[in-house]
Amino acid sequence: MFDEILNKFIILDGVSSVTIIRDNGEVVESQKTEDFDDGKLAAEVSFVLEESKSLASKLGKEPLSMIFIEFRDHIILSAPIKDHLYIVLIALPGANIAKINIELKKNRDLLLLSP
Amino acid sequence: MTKNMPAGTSIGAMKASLQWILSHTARFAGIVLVTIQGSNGFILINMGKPLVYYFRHGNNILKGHTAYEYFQSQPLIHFELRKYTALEMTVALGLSTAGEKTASYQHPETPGNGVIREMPVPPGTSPPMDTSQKTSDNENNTYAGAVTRSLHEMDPSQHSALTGGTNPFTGLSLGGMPSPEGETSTSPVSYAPGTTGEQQNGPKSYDVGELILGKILNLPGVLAVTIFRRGINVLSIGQINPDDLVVVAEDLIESAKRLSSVMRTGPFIQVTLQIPAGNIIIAPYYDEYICILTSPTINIGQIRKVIRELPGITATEKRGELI
Repeated sequence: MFDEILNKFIILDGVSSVTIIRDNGEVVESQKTEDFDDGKLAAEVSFVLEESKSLASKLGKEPLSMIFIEFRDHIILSAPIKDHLYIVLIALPGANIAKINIELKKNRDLLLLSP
Repeated sequence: MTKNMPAGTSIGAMKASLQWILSHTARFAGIVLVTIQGSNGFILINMGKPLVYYFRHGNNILKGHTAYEYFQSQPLIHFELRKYTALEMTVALGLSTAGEKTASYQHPETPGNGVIREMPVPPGTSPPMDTSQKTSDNENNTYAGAVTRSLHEMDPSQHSALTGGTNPFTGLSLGGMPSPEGETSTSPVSYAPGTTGEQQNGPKSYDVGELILGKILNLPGVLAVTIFRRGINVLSIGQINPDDLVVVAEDLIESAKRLSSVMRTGPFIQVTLQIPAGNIIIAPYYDEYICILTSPTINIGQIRKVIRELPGITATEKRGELI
């Protein structure tokens, strides 16, 4: 159901994976060009989301707009879509993060409207 | 005495331990105005060399080593850095010396080199009483007995933070503070642990950003910075209550680092949370973590650039470790 939107992200330079997950760690839909266990990724990201929400709440109970995790060899972005759904993108360090961000913003409405 | 000192030019106020202050003022000339539990004092520093320690709590005045040890007993000190010109430094030193000559207070146990024989009360307690008033009380005090020794009598490793090398808290250069063995001062007031009779350079101005956290504090949009380790705040600058953040922040880092079990991520560099009010950035910083709060105006690109330029990040990557 998110196929069309996920396609828009996976074609971006440096993006190796785009996944829709629930905040309980369940994978809803995924597209990837890199070999890794997306179920495990979703589970680990869900823990990060939980801790992130907890930290954000310490600073005024504000909702998270985005989580950006940077490693030397990979970058992981996650943003809330709706309800308990999050989009998780994995990119290489050379990826244009600004462009990914713009795409996220451009497609936020589409993501919201997806069934 | 504090209010009579030259005002100088304020370059910032923050909270940190004495060790941190001493290790990050290697190129600072001026006065560090100290506030502890509503009482005031100061440290006069010239290019990393603490020249005068002074603290007043009510009628009790602590000077030299006593003040130093009291400051050292505090986990965090609220302080303001005020840089001095050469003239202001001269005036401040003159006032300190004059204050000593005219002061009615005389420390009975202060030997000629300013080293006293009392250690401070444990951290978090009220300032120690003037030693002249409490000497008899302490004679049978086992705590005092156990710790009755001067800095000069300590094992060198115990005051290594004052003798150069790397600060164990922040990993930053300590600016080559000389060891107390070279102490030559004979004035109780001008005695400052870790000083020598070396030639002192003239005062030079530095801004607090360069002095402490380099480009981070100069970056537009940075609201607050805190450095923490193992759930304990080491330093905080700006409007932040670090005690609320550090434990949760460490949990978040641990979660983020577990992502490396899913794929070959390489070393962890940073995590940034975007909330409508701004960004929360956490990154390893030597053996600590640094947490930066910014306004929403700062973008991810700027954040990444600054984080990559942190010296701690470079060191980590060189080690090739996952921290």
